[in-house]
Amino acid sequence: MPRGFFFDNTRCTGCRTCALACKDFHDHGPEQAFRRVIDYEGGSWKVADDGTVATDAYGYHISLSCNHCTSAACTKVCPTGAMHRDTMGLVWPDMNRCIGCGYCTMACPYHAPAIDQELKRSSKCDGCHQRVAAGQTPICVEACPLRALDFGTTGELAERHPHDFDRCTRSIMPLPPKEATTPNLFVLASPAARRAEAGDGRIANREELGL
Amino acid sequence: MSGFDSFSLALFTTLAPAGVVAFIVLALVRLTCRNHDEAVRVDRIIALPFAVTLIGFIASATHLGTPANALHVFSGVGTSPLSNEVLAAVIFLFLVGAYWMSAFKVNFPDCLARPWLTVACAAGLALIACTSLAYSARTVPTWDTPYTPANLILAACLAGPVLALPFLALARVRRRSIERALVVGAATALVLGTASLAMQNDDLATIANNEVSALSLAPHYGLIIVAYAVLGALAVAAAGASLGRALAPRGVLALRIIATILALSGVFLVRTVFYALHMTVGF
Repeated sequence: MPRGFFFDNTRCTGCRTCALACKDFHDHGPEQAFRRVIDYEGGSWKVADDGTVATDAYGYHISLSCNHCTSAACTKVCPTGAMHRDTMGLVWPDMNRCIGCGYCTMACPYHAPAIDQELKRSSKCDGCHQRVAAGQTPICVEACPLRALDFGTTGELAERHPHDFDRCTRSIMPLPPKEATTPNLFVLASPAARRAEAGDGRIANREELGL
Repeated sequence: MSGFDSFSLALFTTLAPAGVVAFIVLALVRLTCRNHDEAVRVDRIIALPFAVTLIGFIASATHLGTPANALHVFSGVGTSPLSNEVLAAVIFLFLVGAYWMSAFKVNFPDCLARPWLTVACAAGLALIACTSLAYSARTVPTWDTPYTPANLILAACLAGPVLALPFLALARVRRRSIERALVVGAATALVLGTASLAMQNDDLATIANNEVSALSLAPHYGLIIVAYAVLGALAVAAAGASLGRALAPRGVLALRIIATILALSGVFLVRTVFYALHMTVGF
């Protein structure tokens, strides 16, 4: 059974604790990040004739790393088989096979893999596979102060979130349509995210995301 | 960091397909040679299209972060389009390089040269096909279009015949019918290639993800297509002028080298835009 992340978009405050815990655990410098937080904003405000102000502005945050997709684009294009799915269903690059060609970075619509400038190889979220093998959750899940993140097999997630899991979607703006890679990301969408489906929003922190 | 270096990859996709087509031209000339001395001269000159393809191949390898693991590339043959491309390149380079060296043998038998060159030509066609399909990633909407293979193949059919002309001059093989066919072929490929690029540029307006429109990735594509057409037309004109009977051999060679530089420059420009057009279906 595939493993992936549950993300409660109604709870996330965009605090970045998940991203920093990940950075700390993997000993990353400022230029590297396996988990990032997208700030998504849209809408506007208007001054009416009577001087009152009305707004339809909205904003929300998406904590995003690799979604260990069922039909992962990165593993399909990888020429060496370095980018592989392990026995737990997690997708990560084997350092002994990777040539650092960058094709995975080009194919992934979530920008999950990147070429590590020191290792000269692809690197990305491995789902904290050693922690998962030891029965723990990934460090980002453990760190989230809002309990907005969870991780497990789809069966475990459905069991742990009985009221929410069936209402989850695999894509909210600006993520790609789920058909692209069948991500194992289950998002409980906030009202703001449903409002954003109209397509008038935008990522507000492109520079922070390295886009 | 993506690790994709557009300069080295644009250089590879400019040089390698052109080198392959130039080799195929020389091989066809060699296969139809009746004169032994002429055949030997063509055999020697085959080093040049081989070198052009090899330089392209080496350029493409310079963007690899860890080339030490390169042998693992063959494990992806059949599944990864990049593995298919590398395998095709290795087979082509091996066949042509080994042919060139073997042909130094005195009395290199024609019965060996003919099938060898035929197989090498087939390997060359396979290399162009694999290179044109190397970017068919479903999640990259600007690359996953019929224009990607069409543009690469038509660019090879422009630059390849032009590149073959100075090689024929250096081999002192002057066959009017072949030379005329090469110029006409290059001109046809230029017209079709320019049309294909223009259609692709029109099509960009229909491609967008949740954040980016494909048009915004290459705002000057129209101008670059015009530059491609102009450089290509000048290349064809220079190549055509080199067919003049009154020209001294040195003048012929000079015109053909200029034509080659012009054609390769035009192709390199549009190849650079190809990499700038990268985007995914995401954000």
